[in-house]
Amino acid sequence: MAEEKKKKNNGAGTIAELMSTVKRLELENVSIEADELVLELTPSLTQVLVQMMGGAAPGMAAAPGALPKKVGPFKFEAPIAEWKQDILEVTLGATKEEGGTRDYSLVIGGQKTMPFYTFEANVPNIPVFSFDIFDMELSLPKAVRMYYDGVMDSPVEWAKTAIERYNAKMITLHLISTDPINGKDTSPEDSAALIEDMLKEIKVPMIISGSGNRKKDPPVLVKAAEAASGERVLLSAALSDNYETIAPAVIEHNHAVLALATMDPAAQKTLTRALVVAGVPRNSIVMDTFTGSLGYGVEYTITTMERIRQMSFRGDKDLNYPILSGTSNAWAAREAWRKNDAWGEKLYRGPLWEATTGLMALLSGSDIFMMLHPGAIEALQSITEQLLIEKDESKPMKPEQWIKGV
Amino acid sequence: MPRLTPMMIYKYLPGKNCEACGEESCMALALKLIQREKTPESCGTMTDMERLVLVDILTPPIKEVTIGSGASTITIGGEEVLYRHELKYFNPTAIAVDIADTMDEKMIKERIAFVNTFSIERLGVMLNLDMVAIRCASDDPAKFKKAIELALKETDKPFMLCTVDPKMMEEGLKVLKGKNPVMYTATAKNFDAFVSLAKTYDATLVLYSKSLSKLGTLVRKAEAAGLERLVLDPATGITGKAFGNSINRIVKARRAAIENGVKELGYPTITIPGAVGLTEEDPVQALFMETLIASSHLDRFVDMIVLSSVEPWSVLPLLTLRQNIYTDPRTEPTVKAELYEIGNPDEHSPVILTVNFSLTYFTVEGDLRRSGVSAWLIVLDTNGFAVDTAVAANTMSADDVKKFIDDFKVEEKVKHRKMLIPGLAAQLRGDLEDTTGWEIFVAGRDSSEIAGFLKNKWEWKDSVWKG
Repeated sequence: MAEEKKKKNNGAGTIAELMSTVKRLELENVSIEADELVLELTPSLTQVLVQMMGGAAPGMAAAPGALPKKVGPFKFEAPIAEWKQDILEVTLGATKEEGGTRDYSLVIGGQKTMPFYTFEANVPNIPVFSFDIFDMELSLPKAVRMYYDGVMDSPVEWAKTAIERYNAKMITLHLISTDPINGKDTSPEDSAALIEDMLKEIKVPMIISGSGNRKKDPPVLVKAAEAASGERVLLSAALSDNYETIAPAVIEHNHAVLALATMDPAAQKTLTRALVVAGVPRNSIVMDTFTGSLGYGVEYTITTMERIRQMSFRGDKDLNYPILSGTSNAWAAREAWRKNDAWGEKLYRGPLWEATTGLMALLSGSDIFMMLHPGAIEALQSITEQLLIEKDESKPMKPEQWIKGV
Repeated sequence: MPRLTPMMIYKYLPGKNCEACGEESCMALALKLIQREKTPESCGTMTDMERLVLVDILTPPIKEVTIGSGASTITIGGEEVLYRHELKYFNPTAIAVDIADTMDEKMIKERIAFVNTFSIERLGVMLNLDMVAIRCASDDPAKFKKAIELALKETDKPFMLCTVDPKMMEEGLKVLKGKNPVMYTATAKNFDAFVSLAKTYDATLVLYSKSLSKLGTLVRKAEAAGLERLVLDPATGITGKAFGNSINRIVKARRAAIENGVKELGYPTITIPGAVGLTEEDPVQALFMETLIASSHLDRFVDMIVLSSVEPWSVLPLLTLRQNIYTDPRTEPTVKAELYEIGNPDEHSPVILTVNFSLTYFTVEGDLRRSGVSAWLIVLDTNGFAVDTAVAANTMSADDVKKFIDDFKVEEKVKHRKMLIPGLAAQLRGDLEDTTGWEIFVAGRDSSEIAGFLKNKWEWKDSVWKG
């Protein structure tokens, strides 16, 4: 474009020479309509054209180079978009009054505009961060293990540590041991027993997630729904080829369900519509658009979420559900966990990789997060709170402060 | 919404479909012009006047600004959309690292060396830092000058000079004559002196104000004085409400410029995440937050940021994120279709089939490497489709796989005839066995299950896990 700009100036010179002989501008020869010129030409170009015609643009001196001494003040008006609908609200966790045994419930969604555009609308519900725990020991990076020393062989103790020591407001129980190949092929009944135990021992709202095995997940999640009846957990996840088995259990036991379609708004629409047709209430659906790690597809995640949010605000009834981000996927990136001196200290790099991935989801529309590293969660939670503070004493930086380091 | 449509541009083209530009029709050229794959100069049929009008219409709402001179010139701005899916982001954010003139010579040299040499190769591209920002923290013109002279010896990268004092600024500009540094920053107070310096030394000028109205007014005045290379600093907020407010100022200014055509705010923006250290004492915590604040600014299309960090663990995520965000969403993301060696495969290592959609490739490759697997990876050209899409679109047929085996002489690389295929391609199993004569296994639903499968089923474990 810099080159184009140069050419444009050269072009203007050529035309000025041309015009000096013709002395006036024949608009017909430009083969555009005069009213289009008025509408679409920038003041700078209009000025050039008018000067070439021997006149002066309003407020402009006729002679080239003689610039006005004073210009009027600019008044900024915030550009406000008008949207057709809000994102639906979904309540997770049921208290005693609501038929469960949770100490509190959490509401997600309800957003009225693009993420944190607080100049346009208020943010009704603060995003929620759920701590990942697993039903069997697995090889997690050292940066994570050091936070859960000695409790990773007991999901209940692991969850208690997250709540008591790291202030977790929500827990995700990943039933990875149910996987027949990579896990222990734990039966749906055994998993259900663990869930019952867990619900007795911890009182925060929960996400219950299968292992990701398409065949095994439906029976596991159906039993899980039974075991957690009335607690309004978020069941993860329903896919296009197994939602029919999972949906009735969601409805019968009054849970919410996660609809997973990978970075594809069209597939996402098809799936949420199918869930609604199957009878799942609209206030019980959360979408997982798939979170790619920083460096491995986070840009698709940003774009999918932004597209889905815009389609929702413009009126799409199949997409105006809260969005979940499986931010822990960030640890799939080798940059998050591998020792490499050129990349710097991995104990800092890992949580930063996860927090940066989560931040992109947060700024693109995610309402709820599954995350792994307590430090990454704390950082992201802190940023979220700062973005939503109503009033405080903080001030933007003055140049002198930074320049002089005071 | 996209600012321009092909129809809007078409009416300014001759409409003769002469094909002299290399496009099949004027409408095709109109599309290329919008996508900035061609310039109005491509059309030789137009008159100069017609072209002038077209250039004006096609000029992006956020002006392009060049920084530095010679080979190390950087271009920022030139953006047309708020959200990358609406077209793409064009010029990646320039990332500068700050240096104070109060630092000793050794430290200055170390920091500049980091800017010069920190480099990571990702997806075949070298990711680097772009600039040095020299702060006049000393209030001593001799010290400021000395630091700039030292830096100039050490690097070819463009400079940003940081002081609000016109006398100090001129000291610096004298050293950098003809090098088009960025002057940080003009404010309402020093405005006239800084505008005059920017003209005298032909430098790029930053305008600062925490009020967008005042910022727009400064732009009007700077434009009236004849300056073209302007950058806007809508005041960086580091903590609390100021943090959110500053992000929203960036968004509001950009939305006004792009969607409402507010020309006063149609310039690149700059922020200073490196100022975090002013309020956070713990150095690790400060860099952690600095990176996150910088990331949020990268996401909100800031065109230039200044860091304090010279720590790889905090700079690596930022360079990676910048590459991700500025990737062209219009092109199919693919990797080269060929036979990849994962780890150190031999004649008994597994042969695994995947596709050339880069996200799939990197996921599979990552899963295999993380499990310490040595294997031959067939990366099939599926037109960049993911597995399920490729199966549906038939860009992953048994014949394609057979051809690949022949082309890359896979049967000379391994003694066995066993191949693992993706779960989403399970339906191809019979076809593949008939066509290739190989034994075909479905390892699981996705590549995270391959290692478990190999552990249980692969005959030659020593050829999978090597020490």
